[in-house]
Amino acid sequence: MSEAQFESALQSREGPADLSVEIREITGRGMIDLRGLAGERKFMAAVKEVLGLDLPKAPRTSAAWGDIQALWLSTDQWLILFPRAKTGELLSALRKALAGIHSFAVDVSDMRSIIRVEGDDARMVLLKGSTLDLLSPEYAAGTVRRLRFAEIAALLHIVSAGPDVIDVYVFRSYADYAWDWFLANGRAVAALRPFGRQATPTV
Amino acid sequence: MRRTAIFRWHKAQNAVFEPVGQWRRAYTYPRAGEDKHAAINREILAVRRKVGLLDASTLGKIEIKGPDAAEFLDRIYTNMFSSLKVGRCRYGLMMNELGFLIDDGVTVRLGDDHFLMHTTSGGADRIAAWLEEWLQTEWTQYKVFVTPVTEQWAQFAIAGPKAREVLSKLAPDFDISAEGFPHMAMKEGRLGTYPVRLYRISFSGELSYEVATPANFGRSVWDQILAAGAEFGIEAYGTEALHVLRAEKGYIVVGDETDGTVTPFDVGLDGLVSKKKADFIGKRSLEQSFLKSAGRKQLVGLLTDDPKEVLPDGAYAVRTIKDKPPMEMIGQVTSTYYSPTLDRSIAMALIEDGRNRMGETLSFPLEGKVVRARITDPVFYDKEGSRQNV
Repeated sequence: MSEAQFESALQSREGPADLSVEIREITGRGMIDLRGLAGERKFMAAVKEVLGLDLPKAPRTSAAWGDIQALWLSTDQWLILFPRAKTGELLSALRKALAGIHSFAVDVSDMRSIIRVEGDDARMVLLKGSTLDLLSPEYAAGTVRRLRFAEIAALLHIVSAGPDVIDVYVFRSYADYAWDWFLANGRAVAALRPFGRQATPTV
Repeated sequence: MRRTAIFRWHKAQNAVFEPVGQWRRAYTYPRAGEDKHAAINREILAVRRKVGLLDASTLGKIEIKGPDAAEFLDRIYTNMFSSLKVGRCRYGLMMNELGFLIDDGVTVRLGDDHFLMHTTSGGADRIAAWLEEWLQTEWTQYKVFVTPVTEQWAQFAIAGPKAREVLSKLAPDFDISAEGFPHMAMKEGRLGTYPVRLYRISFSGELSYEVATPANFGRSVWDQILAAGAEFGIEAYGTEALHVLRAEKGYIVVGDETDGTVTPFDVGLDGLVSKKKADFIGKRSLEQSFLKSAGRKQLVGLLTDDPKEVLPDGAYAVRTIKDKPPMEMIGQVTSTYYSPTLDRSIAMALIEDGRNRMGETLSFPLEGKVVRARITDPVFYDKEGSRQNV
């Protein structure tokens, strides 16, 4: 057999036209699901030794060092992001450093599909599939939020704010569904025109 | 709607789809001029006589790791997992606290403190949440991490007498001989350039392997298997063929043979309920008098008097036929198919005191007629299990 053939979930999908945002699939990213106890110093130190960063302990935050990022998923779970080609190397380095420490690192690079949403209208489009107030200053660059988005499980990562770049992670099996959602809801003619924040009524 | 990595191929083959949880799975692949029944029968016979390929990617997969993982699984399953050797697979049954079956599947030991659990396709999220709940609320002393990885893997069954020959053409970098890779073994390695986990497990009763590869390689590995299998007459088979194949072997499906009120004893799987383990979920409930009493519905096989007659799913057996309802019901059909392997209809049913009624003929009143069927063992084909041990 020849070179291994890679096929991402959205590889054959047409590039979208007439959307108010730019969307594209990100395929070159490796992902490791990392479990461990944030309160255990040995665990945090071993991870830092390999990744070069302190795992974020505050909910919905992220940390970065070079081309490695760590997204907070829960009190004992992080999603580690890095260039896909590094997967094997990082995974074995983590497992080696974490030997004997209660933890778990597993390759989940193919488990999720990532749709990058870019443009001034990104938050307005995402609002249509979510109950979160994504216009709030709380959703600054670096924020990570798991949510029910367009009726499916998803994760938002605000990569940068103004100009907005937001990565939407969905489980691979829902990639087509999510892509279609953007095609249907991201159309320029369907852009939302908010009234803006309302003054709190006096009682 | 959830799609596997092979969805576009299924679609291109004009597969008929069926919903399984939120997935759409290929039900059968009718060819030009074929109706669904003909297609299903062809797929079943391909597995029994040659070799078939199934997209089983939807199967739930949960990795379980930590120093207490083995003990944790001993409590979750009715049978023993701490005794499972590294690199081996074991079929397990799961009950809720009431002693009723909630899921089943094959669990693999990847390391001393590391397991991979397979769940039913529809049960994947529910069981992951179930495991987390027990860890977080009841057994907080356990050092165990549970990480669902269902979508990381595309997984395919290669089943049939020619399965090993197909596999060997794919250039595995490990021994797949009958001795070197026995039934219920697992190996990690490569098929050609593709990283895989290979499980020798069988839900069809045939010589069978399940190949798991990272999902983004899935489509390519699928194509390679089809190409390698062409000279052996490999055919893709869908979920209906899968179900008939397992019914011919008398294997249960949680959700068909069980309805939330069925114990392992009811389906005749007493052997999988450990007598050695101190405790596991549902153990005490199984001691309740009404779960042990005579007269509970038990799983049996049914052979209709007319071999061409396929009972409808859910048909009721009655104690005595009367001119009109109400009639006293003594059980119901849980799975029912035409078996091309045996060239006759087969069915599974839960019947009051069923195992004591072997050989008895039951009556099933349907609209305008009464179908009669004889109670048999639910294993209809290859009772010795010789076909998978080759």
